[in-house]
Amino acid sequence: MKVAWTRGSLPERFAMQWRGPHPARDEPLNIFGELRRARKLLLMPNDRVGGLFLGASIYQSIRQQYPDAHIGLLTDERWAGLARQIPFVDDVVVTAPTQKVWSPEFRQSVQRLRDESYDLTLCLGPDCSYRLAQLCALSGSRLRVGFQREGLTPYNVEIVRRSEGEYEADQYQSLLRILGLDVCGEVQWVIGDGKSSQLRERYLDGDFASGSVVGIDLFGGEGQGLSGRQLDDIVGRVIERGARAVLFFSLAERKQVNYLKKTYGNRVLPFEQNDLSGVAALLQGCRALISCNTDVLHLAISLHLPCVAIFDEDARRWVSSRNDLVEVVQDRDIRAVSITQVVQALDRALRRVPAETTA
Amino acid sequence: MSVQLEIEPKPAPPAAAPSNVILLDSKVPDTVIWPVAGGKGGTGKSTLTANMGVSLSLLGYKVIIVDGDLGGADLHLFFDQVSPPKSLSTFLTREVGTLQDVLLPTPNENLRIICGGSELVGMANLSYAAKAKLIRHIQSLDADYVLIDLGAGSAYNTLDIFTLSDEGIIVTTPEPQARVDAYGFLKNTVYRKLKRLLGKREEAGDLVTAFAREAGRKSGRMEDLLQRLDIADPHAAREARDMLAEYRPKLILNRVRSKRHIDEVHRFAQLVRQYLSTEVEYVGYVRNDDKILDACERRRPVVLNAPKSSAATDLYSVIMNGLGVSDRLHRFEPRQCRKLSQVAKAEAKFW
Repeated sequence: MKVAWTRGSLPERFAMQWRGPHPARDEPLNIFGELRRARKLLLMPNDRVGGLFLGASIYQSIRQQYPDAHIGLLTDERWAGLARQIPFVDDVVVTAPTQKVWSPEFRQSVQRLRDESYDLTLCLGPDCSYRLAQLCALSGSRLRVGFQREGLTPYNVEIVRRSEGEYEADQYQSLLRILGLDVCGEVQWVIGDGKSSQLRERYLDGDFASGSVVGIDLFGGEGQGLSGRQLDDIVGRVIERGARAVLFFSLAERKQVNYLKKTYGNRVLPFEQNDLSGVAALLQGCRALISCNTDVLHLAISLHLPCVAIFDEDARRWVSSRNDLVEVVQDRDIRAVSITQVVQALDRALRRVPAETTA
Repeated sequence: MSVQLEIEPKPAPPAAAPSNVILLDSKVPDTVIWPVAGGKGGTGKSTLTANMGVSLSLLGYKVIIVDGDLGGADLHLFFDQVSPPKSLSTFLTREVGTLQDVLLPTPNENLRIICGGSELVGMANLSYAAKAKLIRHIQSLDADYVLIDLGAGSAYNTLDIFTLSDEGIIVTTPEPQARVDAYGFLKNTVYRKLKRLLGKREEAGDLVTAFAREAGRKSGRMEDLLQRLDIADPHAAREARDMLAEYRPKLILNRVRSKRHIDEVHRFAQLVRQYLSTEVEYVGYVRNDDKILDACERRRPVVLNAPKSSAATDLYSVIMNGLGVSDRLHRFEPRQCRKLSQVAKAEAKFW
């Protein structure tokens, strides 16, 4: 699964060899000269939504380095609404998430990027999808910078990673430093008072407005995810302790949501996570988030919400060791994670919230 | 691939740094207001309103039901509220500041109700200022759907609340008396809207008033009025045509007992088009079902009391197929609307 994601499935690789568009042959380049002269830039964060959040300080750094340049941000159409709210980029270039590399839509995306004639493309995801890497390779950009990948050479400047376990945002920053670009500090995500608060009030009303609310992300992500029984236990324990649960779900988890809704009635509030700005608005009404994938987790981290992250792989890459508000529960077999571990982690995360925030 | 590496000084940093804050804001879905009226009493307006509210909340929408039957409020009885602590009269007597303050919760977190206040003498005859305030506050209610249950008849209060949305719902039954009343109500809403639109234009306003007076006795096709307006005030005529094109009331046929009744409702829609130059959108029917009476006796909406009854399944179809409301929670397709009965059955446990 992971190989197909990063290196492309066999049909995808075959399709690219057989009929795919081919990158133009690179001419010898003066890298730093090209970097200095770049006027049209394209940023490609990791094609999971977390990449959008983790790359925020990079977008700001690039904007600071290139104040007059036209900066584009390539993103999946699912996250486009969120990407458009990032003030450091001029343009959001949208691609469809389901594009196969042999599809006419993919060719159109390639053509669109070629028409733009970017001077510099930065591919930030160390293990972004094969599709994204191919888009970068075929973008026609003069300078294409990214992390070295096994079995693929989509870039003409490849950066070798220090270690795979390094925090993703730190990896992005080291990429910039290697290119001799300054890196800014942390970027803060905040929720606007206007419509977001209206949305929050609309959905977190009644008992949800007054009591303690915990967000639970049901989305299993790429991996196995938590079992129905584990999720039931977690939601049950949250409710048992007098709190209410907002269940963030995607289409794939709707049966699970229905079951939880049937079991716990109006003590749970399901909210589909396709509107990430809406998710952000509701997260602000939550005391904490429990999640086993990085999508909503990174949004919650960006909003400084206490989180419990349940992972079956090395979490160092996804959660900064400097972040006190995130408690990681890690087990090679995610389905072996017990409810006690999750509850204890939740208590630890909540204890670390500054007193004035809790009040 | 050959890349020539040459170290050069890095680009100079810019003078002004952008702020390090990303401000997130989200879209708030528009509030859809559906006033429910019908002209004749006893057509099932309150029953349908209560059941539609519950069904919409089961689909994952935030719903507020307002009992706008100012003279005979009884919607709260569907929610087992015998003597509601707060109602419209609490708001109209200025005991609370906003309509939001008189919202009452229901066992479903997505559904709240505003009970009518018929205990207040004179409630059915609101002053102009009170009516304007009520309409203003209804429009500012925050929910995905606001359903307003209106009383029988064509009093100005009822017409004005009905016409605060272009998508009001008319409930009628197959009996000729009910259809005549529904037509009369529709006609009154059209004239009321025209009067409000053109009232300030002296000649056009007078023409509408005179025509409306005539229309009771003669056939009074709206097209005739528009033609007269074309001559008297072409600009007013254009505005009137635009208004009529935008006005799309919906029609639900309740207590259907045979297929013939459904054919008749299509003829009704045709009649409205012909005489009132207005497109009434027929959105579906609900069959006659004793389960509704059983549910009323138990003071519960039928969709919860008998989720698989013919009336309940018809109602799911009206909402998902006729009114085009998508299922936000379970993602049932409109053709799978019957599956909503399983959701309603599970929900009934909490009521």
